[in-house]
Amino acid sequence: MRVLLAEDEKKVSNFIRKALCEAGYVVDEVYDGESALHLASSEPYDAIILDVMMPGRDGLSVLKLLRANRIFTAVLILTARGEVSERIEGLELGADDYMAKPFSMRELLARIAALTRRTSPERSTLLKVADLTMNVLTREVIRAGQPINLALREFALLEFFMRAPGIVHSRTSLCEHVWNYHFDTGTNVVDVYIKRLREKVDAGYEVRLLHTSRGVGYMMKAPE
Amino acid sequence: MKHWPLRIKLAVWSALTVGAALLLCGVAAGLFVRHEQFEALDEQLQNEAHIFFGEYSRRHAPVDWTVSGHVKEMLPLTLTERYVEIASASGSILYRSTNMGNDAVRGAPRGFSNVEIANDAVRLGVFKDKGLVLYLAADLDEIDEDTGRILIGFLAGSPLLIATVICGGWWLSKKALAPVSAITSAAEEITAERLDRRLPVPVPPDEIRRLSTVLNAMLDRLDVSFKQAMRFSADASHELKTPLTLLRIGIENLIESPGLQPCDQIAVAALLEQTRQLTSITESLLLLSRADAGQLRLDFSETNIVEIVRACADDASIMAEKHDILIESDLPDTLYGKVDGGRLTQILLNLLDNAIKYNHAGGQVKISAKRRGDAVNITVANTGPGISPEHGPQLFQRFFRANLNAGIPGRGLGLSLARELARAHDGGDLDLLESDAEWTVFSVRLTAVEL
Repeated sequence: MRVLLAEDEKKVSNFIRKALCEAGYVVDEVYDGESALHLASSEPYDAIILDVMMPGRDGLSVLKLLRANRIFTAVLILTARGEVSERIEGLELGADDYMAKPFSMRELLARIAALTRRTSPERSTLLKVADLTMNVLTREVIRAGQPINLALREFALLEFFMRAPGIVHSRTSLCEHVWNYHFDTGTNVVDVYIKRLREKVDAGYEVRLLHTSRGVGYMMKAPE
Repeated sequence: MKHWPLRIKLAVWSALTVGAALLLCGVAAGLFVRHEQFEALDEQLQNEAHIFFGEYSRRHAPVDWTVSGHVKEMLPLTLTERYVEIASASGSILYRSTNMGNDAVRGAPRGFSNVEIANDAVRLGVFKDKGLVLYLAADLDEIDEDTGRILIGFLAGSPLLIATVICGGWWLSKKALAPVSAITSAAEEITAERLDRRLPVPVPPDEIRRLSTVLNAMLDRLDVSFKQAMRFSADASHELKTPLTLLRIGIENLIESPGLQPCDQIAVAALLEQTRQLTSITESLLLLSRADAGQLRLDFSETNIVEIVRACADDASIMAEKHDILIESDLPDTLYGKVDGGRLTQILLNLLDNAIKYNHAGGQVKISAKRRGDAVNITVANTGPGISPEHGPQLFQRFFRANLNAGIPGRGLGLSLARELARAHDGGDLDLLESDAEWTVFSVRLTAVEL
């Protein structure tokens, strides 16, 4: 798996490169838009991480030119959060995912893993983690033969976890993907929902599926 | 008059000034003419008395005062119009002209005075000579008529004059204020987006030219600081996010390092939480600085506002459960507006979060949305301690917190940010509607659209 990393802040770039290498990726590092465009156009990559704010040519313009040149490598853009227009523009230009700074490294790795696996159709309608199953179409959730009744938002939250088992999601990420809130709510709404979801999904069962990763976020994991 | 336009004021003031001057002139002229005429009359009376005494002394035969022909011979012809009385030095009346009636003039002091004889205002002269006292009086009608004519002349002329002055003042002020009008319309063109425009500088080196020059210099400085503020928010965003990213990645690495003791893990997790908080404050401040620079870019689309309000109310119900607070909503099915859904959610969640935090157990929160004219009004009301009137105006200031000691977490940025976000919507605003011991009500105003 080969990843192109375009990020002008060398220290940040360094961290990402190290984490990606440890996870088994081969990483090419560039620090400006022109070199990113050049490498992405000439070398085959499985994924590209593009910072939006770069000297010379910015990330969005690199992405635009890549798509215009019919290069459809999966692209994850890194934005400064709060720039809603930037994020929307990125997705409209054909980015596959985005992350806001400051991001969690674990989450970045999970997203890159998801992007590089994207060849297989992911939107299956029947999800299963250990003895918990979810039918996305009929909206049935069953654990160990017992049906579980979930409210709309709870269902969406559980689906998000079940689609990526073993991956830690930060509160920010959950807010963005489940609630579609691209700002700090300043509330503990995520924690409250997780607590309710736990009461419905985990309470009374010996094996817990929803885990807290201290300080980082939450994840769903089947026992080893 | 305080609220009249300058041009009208100038015209009216000049008319009033001229009118007052005219009145003063008229009165002065009248008084002067009257005085002159009195002097002339006095002189005439004096002359006539002189002639009378001259004739009297030239006569050799004694005068029979009862024969009026004798008397008339001594009096000049002009005296036929006069009121005449002649007395001896001892005081007995020797002669009295018929027009005198029964009015007594005796005892009047020597010299001239104004008295009334036979219901006529007259000028009376008293002359003593040759053992006689001559009372000689002339009618004042003529003088009064003259004075009246002067006054009427002034009164008839002044409306015309004042009208001319008003027109002149109007025209002059229009001419004088024309450069000011030009500057005004040019200034209206200058907005946050077009700060590079400048006011016209008139050619003649007058006060207006100086005003224009000074204002232009001020605009230059404003432009520079505005651009700096814009650059600041862009730069700050970049410069702050990088160390925050490094901080977060570093702390996460620490948490996951294998040798970390459980107690240290908690400490490091707390650090991570603080980093998250710092990120959030940074976001808010950057957003506020962007709002200050007029650079808040929102993503508007025509949306059913009620759906957003309902989703927020749902989230609020969940959050309020453990505080034993009831969330009630009174919402119609649809209310459309051109809004940034994410930002509106941010505004409402902030209000709802506050409504839950500043409440008491068993309290209530009411959320409603209504169409009022061409606006959509969303109100969030809660039971709570209320906001004291002196805190009302400060409520939307940055970092302001009414009850610092209440132990309620927060940074005092939420409301000011929510207001900026509301105001970034076309016709949008956020205000404290009312607050008493029972209910505190915040209201969000948005512009409605018809679909």
